[in-house]
Amino acid sequence: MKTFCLSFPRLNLSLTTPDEIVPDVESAFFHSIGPGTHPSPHHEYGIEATPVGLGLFKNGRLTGHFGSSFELICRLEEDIENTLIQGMGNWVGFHAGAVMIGKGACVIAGNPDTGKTTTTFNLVEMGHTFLCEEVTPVDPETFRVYPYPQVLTIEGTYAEKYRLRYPVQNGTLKIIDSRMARYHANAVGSDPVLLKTILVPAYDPSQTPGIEEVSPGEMFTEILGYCFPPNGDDEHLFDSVIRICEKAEIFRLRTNSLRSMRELLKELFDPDPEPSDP
Amino acid sequence: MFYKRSHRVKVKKVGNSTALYVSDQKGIHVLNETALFIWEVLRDPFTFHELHYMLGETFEGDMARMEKDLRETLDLFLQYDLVFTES
Repeated sequence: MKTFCLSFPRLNLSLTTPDEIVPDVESAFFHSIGPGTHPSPHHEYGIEATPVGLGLFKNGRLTGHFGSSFELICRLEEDIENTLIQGMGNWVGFHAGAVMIGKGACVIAGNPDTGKTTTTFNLVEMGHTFLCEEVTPVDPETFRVYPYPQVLTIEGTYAEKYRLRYPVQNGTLKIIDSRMARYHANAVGSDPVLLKTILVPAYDPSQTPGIEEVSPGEMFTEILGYCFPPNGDDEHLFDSVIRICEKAEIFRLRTNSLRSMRELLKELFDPDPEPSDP
Repeated sequence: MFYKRSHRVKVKKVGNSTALYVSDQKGIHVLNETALFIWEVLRDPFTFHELHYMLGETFEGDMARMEKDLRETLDLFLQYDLVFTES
């Protein structure tokens, strides 16, 4: 058995796992595994081999049985996300990815299937530093984005298409089947980063691609919809999201293909690249 | 029948826009130009016809269309408890 100490924003966990699962756990939580053990973790997770597969325990209570370590880890990731959201206190939790572009953070928010994760993936592959996946915690007082760098889960067919067109150079892309691929970024930001941009991707194969800068008033209620329910009162969330919207530059990114997304991201974040040596 | 602002409404500025919400409700509402005008005017109670007249004096356009916009806006204000009516 091995015990890992996992560190997330405002959340420290321990995870005890049988030796045969250790490589899977290390792969899934690579950037969150800290040295040693926490003296007092907020929650203790345990994995145990049982006659019917693998059991996942949280604080000594069985939360589920799983047929494979992959299924168990997906469930564990989800449970950690929920625990993180509940423990964020007065921070705002966006259902979003985030990357560091220059010295500022870009939060990529949106509804499912609009290209949120693929935008994060493309920005990381374009050389920007990975910060968050699925949950992006933002402190509305300091406007800092706190890293939550989990494995990106993207559609398998998208990953296949991507690999045919571009090299995967800043991480490891593992295609599991046509529905699912997992991307592990090589490097991640470890410190909080000042929020600069909110990007709202909108994928539709029938639309004309383009970038639209939008005002806080136009986007406020939509962005509010991308927040996890607040731990405190609604008014605090409203005020926090208003401040965040006013502080950030907000763009809607209309794409209709992998190529258009890549071109628009380049136009937005790298409009005048250094000329290469002849 | 007069339309009156609810005292439970809180007003928030969002950039150049204005949003309204009632503290025991989940939603917050960013106002469009017409809705903001009506909200501003309702500092004092007015009837539908008085509001319609003021809209016509302030904005250019088709009065029938304005009447429809006003009706829709007031219905939403009532639905979300932002205003109430009094005889």
